[in-house]
Amino acid sequence: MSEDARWALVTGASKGIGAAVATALAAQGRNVLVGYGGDADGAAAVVAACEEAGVAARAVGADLSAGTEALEAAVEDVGGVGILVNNAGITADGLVFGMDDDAFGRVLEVNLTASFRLSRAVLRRMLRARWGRIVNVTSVVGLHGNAGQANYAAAKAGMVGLTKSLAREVGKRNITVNAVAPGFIATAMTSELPADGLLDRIPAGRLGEAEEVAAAIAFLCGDEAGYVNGTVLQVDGGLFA
Amino acid sequence: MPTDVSARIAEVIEDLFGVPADALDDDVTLQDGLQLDSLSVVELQTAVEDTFDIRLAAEDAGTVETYGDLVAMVGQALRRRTRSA
Repeated sequence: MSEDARWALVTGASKGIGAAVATALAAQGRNVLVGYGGDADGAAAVVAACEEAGVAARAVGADLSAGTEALEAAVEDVGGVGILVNNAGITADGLVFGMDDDAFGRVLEVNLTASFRLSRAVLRRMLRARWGRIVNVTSVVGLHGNAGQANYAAAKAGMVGLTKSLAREVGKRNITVNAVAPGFIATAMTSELPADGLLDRIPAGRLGEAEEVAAAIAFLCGDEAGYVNGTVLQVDGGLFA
Repeated sequence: MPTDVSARIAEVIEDLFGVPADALDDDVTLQDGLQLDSLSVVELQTAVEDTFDIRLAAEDAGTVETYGDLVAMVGQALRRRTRSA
């Protein structure tokens, strides 16, 4: 691990899966840039949890629908990151018939385009360090589709293509790019899902926990996962086994 | 007689890829001439940015084909920095 690799950037890290990833990486000794959209208090709590693990952490607020400059500046400020976890995501659900361009475009912008921009921004340092880990948090919805989530599913499917292409571009330099596809995880984002019949479809018989997704992501961020590249790891309790 | 900028870029190339300075002239292409793959070219540009504390515009960086192009681009970036300082 090079000096650069000591820092990780996790987007959407003020709560849910992102918060769990930030603390999991901190437990592995990484300093963490905690990206967040609106929840400054949540981000501050995650920073405190990371610091408790004995690493440095900073909260960085950024509206990803308006660009990634703030996060890129924070990355420059710490001298580059060795790990990027593109986790930030929004939904704007609705049937295609009633979905306006803005609802489609905004979801793509935050979920997919920001991931592309941040990957581009961090890769140059990773190339020089000849070490890097990028993990894109996609969704089983991106692999299988979901009625009412054409925008979200398109963005998440796009992240799979981004992951696989980038993995091929930079794999020679000890940089890996992988995706994790969570199923139904107990977070604020899934709290409004109708529970009826959902659990029957999941062989595990329960929703997943954010920490269970974070564990998979933390694995992909480690040295030991250096030969895992361009894969999509489903963490879905067997939902799409 | 190489300029100071040229000499420092030559050092970067030698450090990164082991290509000696006497293999460099303005017309030698980075990819075919020096046998650098596209990732190596990006790596070289990033190293040059660090060496001179400049930022090459992504759209300009794509137009670099030869060693001479790179030296010229760094020269322009240094002049921009001097003007804005």
